[in-house]
Amino acid sequence: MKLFKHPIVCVAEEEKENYRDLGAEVVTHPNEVTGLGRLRQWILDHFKARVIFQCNDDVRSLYCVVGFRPRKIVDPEAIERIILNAANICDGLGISCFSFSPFQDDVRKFRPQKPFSLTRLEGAMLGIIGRKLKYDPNVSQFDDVDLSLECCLKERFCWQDSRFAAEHNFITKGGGNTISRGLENTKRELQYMKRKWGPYLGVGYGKEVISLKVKVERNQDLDV
Amino acid sequence: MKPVIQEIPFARINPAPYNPRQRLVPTDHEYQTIKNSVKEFGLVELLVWNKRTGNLVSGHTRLDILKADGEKVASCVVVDLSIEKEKALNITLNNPNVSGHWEDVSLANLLREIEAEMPDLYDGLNMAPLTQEVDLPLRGGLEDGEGEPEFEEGIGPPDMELLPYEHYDYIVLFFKDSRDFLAAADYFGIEKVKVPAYVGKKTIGLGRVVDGGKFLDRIKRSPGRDSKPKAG
Repeated sequence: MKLFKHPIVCVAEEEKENYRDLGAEVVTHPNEVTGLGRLRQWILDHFKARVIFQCNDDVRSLYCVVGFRPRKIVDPEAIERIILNAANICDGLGISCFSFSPFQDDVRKFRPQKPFSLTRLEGAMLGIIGRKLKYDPNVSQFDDVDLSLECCLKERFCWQDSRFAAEHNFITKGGGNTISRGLENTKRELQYMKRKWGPYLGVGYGKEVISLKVKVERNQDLDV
Repeated sequence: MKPVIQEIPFARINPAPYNPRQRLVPTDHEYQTIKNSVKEFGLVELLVWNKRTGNLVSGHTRLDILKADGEKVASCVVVDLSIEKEKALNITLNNPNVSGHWEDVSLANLLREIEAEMPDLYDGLNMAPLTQEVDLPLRGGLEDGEGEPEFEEGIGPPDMELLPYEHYDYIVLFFKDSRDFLAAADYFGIEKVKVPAYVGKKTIGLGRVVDGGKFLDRIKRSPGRDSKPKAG
């Protein structure tokens, strides 16, 4: 909340009371709109601005991961500049989606020779320009991976500015979208995703989380 | 056929000059993985050495690791082959098509077991990427067709392969002189960006994206310029 100058908080109608004293504009969506794909699409349909930037409620700060130490950014003015800069670049490239790195404050994973990723979006902080692309209502959890693949299919690439990374909590608590999680729902959604994207979707199984990978080549193997 | 195993001094072992495998160096992740394996289990996969030519047929990275550790000799499987057969054996020992295929469920279970009980080894031996290579079922398994959603007719993986010459990439231009920067901005028509939705300010900076194809076109068409810039 404190990261943005003019945030609009989107919550289910039944949760509105909990956000009464938030000190920010609160917009409610119908209770039956559940799952990240449906919810994010509802936001795109509801708001008329050309550029929509969606940020998860568990994002605590933005990190600059260039250099030897991560630099925490909490100033709303600076964050706004970073977002607008990414939006400008994305717009200049003629594509619809931009985001930041998934690697939190880990500077080791930033590659100075490759500061931008062109095939993967990270859902914690994600911007969409225009309404050319739509979220898949069947996807409740892995909406960012699905959108990344959609971008790669329809616009051939997307834009991730890996110099910056959102600091956020991993999924541990209830509330919000947790209704869409659970083993059975995850299994069902993974099957759907595998069938939808076939060999272009990689699935990795960690200790507690499942990580999906976009396996789309967007560079020739050049000998420069 | 019983293998012949002998202790061979490194002075008698020549790295195969034709070895088609990329040579690994200590900074490579794969090198460290093999080193971790040797450290953990010892040299359980022996070097293969051809006594007729003196060439190492298999185990070049392991040889480098042993040398770096100060070893002078190693147990080798000794073969006696012509150079032609030696080359064929080199390929065979490194050919992934000769190694068979993973059984997905068994592999998944083993990986989870190792990851849970020996996480350091799991990381050190770089096992995580294996989960990307095979189509692993979720923990607890899933019967065929169980819980599948209804699909619209025709839904399925689209073709997303790279087209001929298709390539998305970028070059960062960096200026140290305002005159150069302004000249470039003018040359490529870079203008201030308007953000109508933003309250209080009309512009936020310059658009800095230039289409690479158009960039090259402009350079090629510039009077007095070669189509191919000189290096340096």
